[in-house]
Parts: sequence; C-alpha cells; structure tokens
Amino acid sequence: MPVALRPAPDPDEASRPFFEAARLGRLVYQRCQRCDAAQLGRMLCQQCFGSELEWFEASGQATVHSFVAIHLTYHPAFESESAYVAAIVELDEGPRLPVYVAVAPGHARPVVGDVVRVEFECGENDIFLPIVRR
Amino acid sequence: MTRPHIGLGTITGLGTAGLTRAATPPAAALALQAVLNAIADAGLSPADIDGLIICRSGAASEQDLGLALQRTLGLRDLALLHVLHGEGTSSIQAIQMASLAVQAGVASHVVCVFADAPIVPGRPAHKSFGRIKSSQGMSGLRYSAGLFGGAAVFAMAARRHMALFGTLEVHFGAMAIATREWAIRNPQALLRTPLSMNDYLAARWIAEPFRLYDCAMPANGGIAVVVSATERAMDLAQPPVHILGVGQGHPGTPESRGFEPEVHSGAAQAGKMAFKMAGVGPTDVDICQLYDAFSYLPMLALEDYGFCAKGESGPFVASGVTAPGGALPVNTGGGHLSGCYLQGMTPVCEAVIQARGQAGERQCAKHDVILVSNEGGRFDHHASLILSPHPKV
Repeated sequence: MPVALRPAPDPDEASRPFFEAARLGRLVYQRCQRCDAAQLGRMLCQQCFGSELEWFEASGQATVHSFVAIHLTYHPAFESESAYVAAIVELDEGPRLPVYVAVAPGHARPVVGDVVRVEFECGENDIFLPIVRR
Repeated sequence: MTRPHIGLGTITGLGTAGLTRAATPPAAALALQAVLNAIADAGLSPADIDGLIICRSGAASEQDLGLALQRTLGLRDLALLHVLHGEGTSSIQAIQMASLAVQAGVASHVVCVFADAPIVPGRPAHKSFGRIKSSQGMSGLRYSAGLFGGAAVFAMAARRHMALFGTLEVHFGAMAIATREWAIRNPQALLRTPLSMNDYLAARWIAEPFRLYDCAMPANGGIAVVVSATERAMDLAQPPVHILGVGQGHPGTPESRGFEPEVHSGAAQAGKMAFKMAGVGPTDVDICQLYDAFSYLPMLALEDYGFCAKGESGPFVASGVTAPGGALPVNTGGGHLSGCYLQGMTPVCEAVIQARGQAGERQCAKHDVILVSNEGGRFDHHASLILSPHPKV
C-alpha cells in the first residue's frame, strides 16, 4: 500500500463547493438554471454561457468512459508493484470526472462501459478526492 | 479579393542543434545554435533577421528559454518578438504568426525556434514531462487520478477509440512499425533498428494500451526555421519552401455526455482552414508529417483530415499505406516515435527537407503538397500547415 497521499488541486471559486461536499462524502455537480445543462466546476455554462449554475447532489453512480493502466510512477502516492489504474467516468447526470481506481488484489480492472460508484478519500492538504473501488 | 497574391511567406532556412539522447547544454544554448544554423542555411546574416518567435516545452520555464534569447543572439531592433505558448502546436502557430507578419509587411525574415532539453543525467525522461503544471480546481483532479504526462492521457484516448471502433493494439503497432521503417532510412533518426510486430508486442508497457514503441523518443535539441517574405525568398541559398495554407483548431469540447473529445481532434477545423487557403484537399496531399508523440495521434489525425473514415485509421495504417512504398507517406523522417521528440518542430523540419528534395534515401518522389500537423494539450489544440516547393499549386 502506498503511504503517500494523492496530490490534490487547490480549490478555486468554480470548484470550492465540489470539494466542500466531497469532504462530507457527497458528490455534487452543477446545473445551469437557464438551459439545465449538467456540468462540473464551471464559471459559465458550457452550453449557453449562462452564469447561474446551481449545485445539486449526484447519485454517485457513473459509467467508465475510458481507463488506463499506468506502469510508470510519477508520484509516490501511485507507487505499485505492477500498474495503477485511472479512469474517466461519466456521472449518470452527464458530467465526466477523472478518478483513481483502487483495484483490490484478485479483482478485475474496470472496462469501458462498466457501472461504478464514485466515493471519496482524503488526499494531500486535507482535500477529499474522488476514488472508484473495485 | 482585391489584394494581389504575394504569397503567405516562404521558409528559407532550417537549422538544428543537438537532436540527441545525450546530455547537452540547456535549451537556450540549443535554441541559439539552431537559430544561427537556420540563418546560415538561408544564406542570411543575423543582421537580416527582424523577427523572432520563441517556443518552448510546456514543461519548461521562461528561465529555461525565453525572451532573453534575443540578447543572447545579439539581435537588434527586432520588429517582432514573442514567446508563443500553444503546447504542442506552438511551432506551427509561430510559423503562422511569422507568415501573417511577412504578408503584412511587419517583418521580412522571422526566425521561429523550438528547443528543449528534457534528458538530464540521473532522471528518467518521463519525469521531465510528467510534472504537475498547474493544479487549480477541477482540472487539477487529473493529477489526483494519477494522470501525469502525456502517455496516460493519450492512452486513455486510444482506449476510447478501441472501445468505439474496434481498433486493436496491433493497429497502434502498425503505426509504430511503419514509422520505424522510415526512420531506418534517416541517418538523423534516433531509433533505426528494424521493428517487428513481435518486438513491438514484447516491449514493456508504459500506459496500457501503449507499450514502449507507442511513445515518442525524448531528445535534447533545437530546431529553427526562417520564414521570409516571399518576394525576399527567391535568391537565397536554399530551394524555397512556400507556405500555402495554415490553420488552427481549438475544440474546447465539453467533458460530458454526448461529446467525444478523445476521438475528435482540432484537425478537422484546422485542416479545413489550411486546405481552403491552399486550394487543395486531402487527395492532393503527397506526404503527411503528423505530430506523433504517441502512435494514436497520427492515426486520429488521418481520420480528422479526411484521409480515411472516422474510426478506420487502424485498418488504414495496417494496410501499409503510410509506410515506405505506400501511397500516402507519413512521418518520413521517423517522426517523434523513432526520430526524435522536439514537439511541433519535428514534423515541420522533415516537411522542409522533403519539400526541398534533400531527404536522400527517404526522399519521396512526389513532394508537391506536404501536410504538417501539430497537436497540443489533450486534443485541446491543433494546427495545420501546408508546404510546397511551388508558390501555388
């Protein structure tokens, strides 16, 4: 098991509510109050340029959009005997999110189209980061 | 159009420095040497240069290579000076800016240079490219997921292409092998031993589905070109290489359902502009020099430029069409994969050599229309350039 915590971004104005909710184990996303488009961490709606984006709780259910098994180590948090897995998952509500995938010994890696659940764990600087467990 | 056609500018000089896996002086020193070599190649003197556009790696800083290059070179009274940041597309963007400047009469001879020195003794090259650039907000979550550097990011895109279109690992292998076949014919390429599919498949994983030979060959070096006003280009030392078309495309695709940023690059937009400007289409292209930091990138570009249908680049490349002897030579110098990785300038350099007819054993008989592509970010940026030995096609 890696001992280092995963690197965390500095929350900015557009993402602070996401990270505040993450600390409570809640996954939230934005909806445009004008056109209803779902998105994540935006200042302006990427559909209609509207600026009234409200935060809503997501189901936590997502689908694997793509994934990769990485055999290089760039950061001590990802040191592993063979490879570690990262994925982009598409939340049921629409927005996509890059996630670390913790694959337990003996378990299969995810494949494109798999249904997964987004959870959170503590990373650097006490920021909670999305994780998918297999 | 009331304005007479005076040309979009002409590449008159090409200079390189380094292009090696060995430790070298820092990027700024490589840039200096490449610029001096390009000016001499054109038959010009540094005093003739009135514009300088500097490009560096996204992982490098102003201290590594920046505006100070003017003073290092001793260039005086420049009418145009920029550091241009466009990730992997900086080089063609710089050439476009130089082209616009010489058309407008702002400058006569503009040098565009890229240099980088990621190979440092005692540090694996991937660490040079895998540093955290900026970790603000949601975009910083890529690092939290472990997505450092380009390999992981583009491997994920390649995986999406496999899932959507049935592309196979051996298709990526076919791209790597075809590119190696070209490199074998280029004495300057860094990887020149024949590569079989068995060798390809036996190589170590980098980021699945990418193995070692799906990834660029990092190198230290600099490449510079001189872009001259077309009317000032005719009596210089080298055969002129004319800019026929140039374009950029920055898709800004949303990261949400219904969008597929991993399998649609900005090549469609950038290529449309460049083709229109040049008055040619994909069927007129004799040679492609496509940004190939990873094997999947030129394959996607072949689709987005319209050389094959969306999703069909795997079988297209596996048919051998891009390899020596094929109908559409691609990355004839060995590209990034087997040549050397100097980002956007690697494909520009080989295009200039082919357009001049100076490629020796690998020279393509037909080299009237050469398409060059640059790719940057995570399919965020694309730039296209069409070069020719003829002022008009």
